Amino acid sequence: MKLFWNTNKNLNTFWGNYHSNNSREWIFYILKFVNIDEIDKIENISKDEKVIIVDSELSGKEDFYKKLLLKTKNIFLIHLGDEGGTENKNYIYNNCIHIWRTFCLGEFFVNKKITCIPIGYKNGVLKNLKNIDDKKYNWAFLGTVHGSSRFDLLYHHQKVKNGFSRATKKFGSKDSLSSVEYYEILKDTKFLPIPHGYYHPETYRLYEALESGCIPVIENPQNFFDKFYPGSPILKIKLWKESSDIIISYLEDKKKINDLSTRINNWWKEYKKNLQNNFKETLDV
Amino acid sequence: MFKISKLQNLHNSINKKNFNLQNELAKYRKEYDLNPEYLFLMGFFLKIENRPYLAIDALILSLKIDNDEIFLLKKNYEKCSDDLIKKKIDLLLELFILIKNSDLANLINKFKKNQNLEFFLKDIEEIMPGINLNNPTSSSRK
Repeated sequence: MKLFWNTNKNLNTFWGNYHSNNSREWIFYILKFVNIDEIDKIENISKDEKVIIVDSELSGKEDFYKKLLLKTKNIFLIHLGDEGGTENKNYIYNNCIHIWRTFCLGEFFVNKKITCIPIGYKNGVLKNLKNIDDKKYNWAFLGTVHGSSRFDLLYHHQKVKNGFSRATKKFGSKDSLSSVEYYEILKDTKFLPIPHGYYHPETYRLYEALESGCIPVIENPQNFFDKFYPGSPILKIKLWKESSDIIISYLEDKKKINDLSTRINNWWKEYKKNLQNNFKETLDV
Repeated sequence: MFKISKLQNLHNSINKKNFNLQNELAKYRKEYDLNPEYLFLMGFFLKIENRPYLAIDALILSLKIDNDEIFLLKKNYEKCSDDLIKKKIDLLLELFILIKNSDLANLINKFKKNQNLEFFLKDIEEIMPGINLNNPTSSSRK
């Protein structure tokens, strides 16, 4: 099945390039059960052939889809980004057979034409994960302190010993750690407190934690994650003052922390497998 | 207390039966989204919606705008009245107590002593540099 990655074609934007540079591993992983032939020109699509388009920043891309529709109406879209749900996407969504989109919002939970998918992790996840007992840091925070949630997170976790924290100036700034350094820290971290994203509760950090074998402690505004991941064993909190006590209680009980780590790893593996099957079934390949 | 009568009316109606602050704020969003009085109401709304961190960020942004004459002039907005600024500070203190963050609560106590909004905002900027109008990441995420 042909796939065309359009996030950064004829467009030089931060997020277009970000998705092209950082989201490929995740997207190709969830498409694992689909035989993908990535193309670099839409001219390579035969008449009415099924095609997957991976795209972001849809506002202003109608012309691309109008041109594509002349070739084929069998368009399956993977829509990345759109954290605030503000992109102008009606025309494009209306003309796709099915859409998988990141950053699920109220209306998309119930739309059968749309499947909400996790935003996934940044490229470069390390393999050969450590057992939870062998990890060096009890908790870690890496990133920008761009608002009160993150400041409060750091404030309340001071009391948990053996933590690692590194605050950077802004998202993707030069003082950020490289992917390898970042994942090395995560690989060695037991608990990763995860603040909400800029607009949306979801952040890449959640999936980077899951892939690195950390136990995520996630801020859960308006119970978003109860709805998005019903029944998941991920630890959820409303305020950061709850998190440090939860972490301390797990650190005091080896069996409890191991059981939780195993449950979370198994749940995440199962979730991803189901997602891979969802793509295969929906694309009917 | 408010200089914009439409926003004063919203504030007056908060406790009325069948009044939906969320809907009302949505109606005025386009016109006033970065107005410091509107942001106070947004902070108030987020607090009652149990979203304390977003409420804090909205209130701090509101105070930053009060302190940014160029931005106020450009948008043809007015700085909030002293009464409303005091209300914002009180609401922030409530929120800092709610999240049990004494470092932040101490900043309010310091402000209450010296009454210097500029110093308070400098302290905030140092510890939470991302609450501002020109965050390139936020605008590109829209």
